[in-house]
Amino acid sequence: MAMCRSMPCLIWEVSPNLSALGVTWSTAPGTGAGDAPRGRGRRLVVEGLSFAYDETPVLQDISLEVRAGSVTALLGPSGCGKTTLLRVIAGLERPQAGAVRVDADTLSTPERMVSPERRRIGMVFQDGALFPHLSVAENVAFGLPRGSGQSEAVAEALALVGLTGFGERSPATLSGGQRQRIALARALAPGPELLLLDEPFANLDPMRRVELRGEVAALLQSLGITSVFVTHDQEEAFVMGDQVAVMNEGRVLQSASASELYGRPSSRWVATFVGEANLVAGRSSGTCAETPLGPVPLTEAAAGACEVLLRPEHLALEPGGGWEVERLEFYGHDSLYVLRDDAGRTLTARAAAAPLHHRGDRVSVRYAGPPTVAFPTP
Amino acid sequence: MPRTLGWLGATARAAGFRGPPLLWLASLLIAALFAVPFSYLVVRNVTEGSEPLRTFFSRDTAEPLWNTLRLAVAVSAASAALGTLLAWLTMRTDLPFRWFWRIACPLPLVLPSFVAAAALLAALAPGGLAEELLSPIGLHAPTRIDGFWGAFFVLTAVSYPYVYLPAAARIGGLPPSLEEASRLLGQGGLATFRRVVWPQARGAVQAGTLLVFLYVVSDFGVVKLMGYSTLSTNIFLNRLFDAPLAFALGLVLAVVALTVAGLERAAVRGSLAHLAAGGVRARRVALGRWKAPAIGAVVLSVGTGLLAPVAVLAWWAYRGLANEAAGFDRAGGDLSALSEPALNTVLAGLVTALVAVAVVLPLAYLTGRHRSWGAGAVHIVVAGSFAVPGLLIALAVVFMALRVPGLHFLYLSFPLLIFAYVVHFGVQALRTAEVGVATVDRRLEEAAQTLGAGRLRRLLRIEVPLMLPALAAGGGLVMLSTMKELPATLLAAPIGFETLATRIWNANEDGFLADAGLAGLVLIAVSAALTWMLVIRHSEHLR
Repeated sequence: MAMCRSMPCLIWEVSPNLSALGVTWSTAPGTGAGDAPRGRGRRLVVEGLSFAYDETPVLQDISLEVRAGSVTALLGPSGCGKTTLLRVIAGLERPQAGAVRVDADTLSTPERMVSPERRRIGMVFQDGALFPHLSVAENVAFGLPRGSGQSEAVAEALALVGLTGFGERSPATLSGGQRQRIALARALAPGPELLLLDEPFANLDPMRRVELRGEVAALLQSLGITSVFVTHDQEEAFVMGDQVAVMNEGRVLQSASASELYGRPSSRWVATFVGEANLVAGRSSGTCAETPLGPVPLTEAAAGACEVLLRPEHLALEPGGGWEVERLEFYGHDSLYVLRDDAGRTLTARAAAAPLHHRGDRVSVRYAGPPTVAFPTP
Repeated sequence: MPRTLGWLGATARAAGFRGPPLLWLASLLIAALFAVPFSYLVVRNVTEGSEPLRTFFSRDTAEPLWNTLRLAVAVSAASAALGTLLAWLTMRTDLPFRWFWRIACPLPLVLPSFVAAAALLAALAPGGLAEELLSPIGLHAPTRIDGFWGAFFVLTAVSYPYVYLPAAARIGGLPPSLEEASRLLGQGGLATFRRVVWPQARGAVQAGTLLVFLYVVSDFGVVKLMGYSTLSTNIFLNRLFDAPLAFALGLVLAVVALTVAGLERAAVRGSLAHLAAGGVRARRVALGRWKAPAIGAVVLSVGTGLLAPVAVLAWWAYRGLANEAAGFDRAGGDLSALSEPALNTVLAGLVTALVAVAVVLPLAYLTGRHRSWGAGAVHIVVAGSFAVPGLLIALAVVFMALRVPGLHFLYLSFPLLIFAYVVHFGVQALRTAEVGVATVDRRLEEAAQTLGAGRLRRLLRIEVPLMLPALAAGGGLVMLSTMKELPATLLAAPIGFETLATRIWNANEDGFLADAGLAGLVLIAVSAALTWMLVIRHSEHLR
């Protein structure tokens, strides 16, 4: 079936000739040429954006920049406003303050809105939002000008998402993954300058989700289209986003590359939201903190009482010591230990091997990671 | 016994029925009840020696038949356009005071069409309200409208809610993401309506339009008052002097009704795209420079369908009461004398609504879950009964009570009246009940089944509560129709059983305009209050 065939060739089916789509995407992935536009994408800038539903503030003073041709993930818990931010960018909601710009064009201000149909912004909805009364091909053709070349463009867009031959099917007969691919093909077909994806993989089972997000990440990269996608899944954000913007309660708390975010989170909340974290009390002087686990190097100089972020995979365990293994979780590729000391403090540690220590064993713990961050004790 | 059932099942399957035998047995029984008016017409055509075929092709029939058809088609088309437009305006645009219009737009339904017609005629007549209002500011009252345009105008104004209600529910229930996706793909507001909203709402609009068509075919009061000759006025005219002709005309009308119901049934099959209801708020289409015309359309619709007739009724009542206070002859207008007719009206409306919903539920399961040729035929019979004038329905049930052995005790009884109403209006509950059945996720039933719930418990604990909004909407329509029904009430009601509608009619006939005005106002107030309490308050589309 086309489904099975599609996986490996997805990226390579991006034919060098996309003229039928009226688009001139470059097929080579960008080579890190800074802010220079890569392929079709344009630069998105969100400035001081605020939005409220009936007096209830949903977005507060949001600023965000998405480099041309890059992928930004909006990561946050449900209800944090990330979908609303996407809708404001799409022009589906009018902001109460701030502006949305693409390159030099101002699309949204509280006073002036370019209507959604004139923005050249593609969007993939969480539920796909395929028109149930139209066939797959008619759905994909929806945003294309009528006339010659339309059917070629539809075929090309379907090939792009690996669903060649599905044109005559009704959306109702598709699986969840297929529906999202068609939604993506429909959004890409008119050659948008910006692509928005609203939790596109949320309704898929875990296997299909991992598979599809890999394909979509590769596709977006090869097309070089500026994209913003919303997710509450940290792994998804890290895998797909060149930049990850962490949101909570209507604000962007930090936006940075995934590794920066993970290694140098700007706050306790971000630290714990983007991964497992031990926050250990310590006392810092300069770029070193004294903790119950010994000295820990810091990225930036600090002074006084603090809490030091220790990622579980940076803790090294040796037999014999002050910590007892309380619980052990074996995941195959690694093992997670939950440790407790006599004072009742707990730590989690992760080791990339089959379990060496077992429940009830006594171990000692040492920090064996790169310089980390410390937050002043509240 | 099991063998008999098995044999019956095989026969029924061969005849095009699907589903559990008990369900279609119940459905057949119900269909037989709904077929009473048609059977009656056939029987009377035979016993009276009518010549339906000759009548059908005679020159004398051509005019009323043509008049009926062109009026019904014109009113249906206008109601479909107006109902859809109002639904879209109130559900999907930035029309000011949307919440108010959402409540006001369905309200013309509470007005008996003959009252609307009488009020309009009286207002435009010399010395009427229009002249009294307009002459001081130097304007002349418009010339009297009657005939085709008068009937068209009044019937459209009071029957567009049959389209508005299902269309608004459908459009309001559409997932907004569909329209948003269309906008982001470069389509403007109008194109989005044409390419996305309309294909989704078409089925609902079509169902409502069928009701309008059948309603117009059955209508007697408006066409009589407007002096427009249709099948129903001719049936009424000839019923005493030329009974065979009247019954032959009745049969012609029944054939028209069943044909149209059948055509609609065939058309609806292609348009069944089912969708879950959407969650987030919808984006409002900015009307811009169209805002003023849009407000005008809404005001005009609700104005002619509801406000103008109410104003006339109020004017009648006020004048009557003022005369009485001034010592003139008492011209009626006694509010306390209306309490009994009002109670009767409410009782008849509520009982009919409950019975109708209970009766059509098996049919809704049959047509909704087990689509088949036989189920479709049953549906057509139920729909067709709506087009048979109330007069013939009443004659049919009275005839049945008198002639069928053992049913004599029903003659002019309350249950017989309810039976007549249910047969006449059942289709209004059937459509929404079908929607209700379709919205119940069968996995919920299966879940209940695995938890050990039997058929009855599943029905009462799972399905009925989930279907309640749909059932209430259908029951509400039946209730409203019953409360304003006139001819069947006049003929089939127990002696001395007076409703507000019969009271208005009698007062109007006798020239007691104040009494008619007051009774009309009470009827509208009671209908509106009941609709509000039982239907609108629970309806999703108003939130």
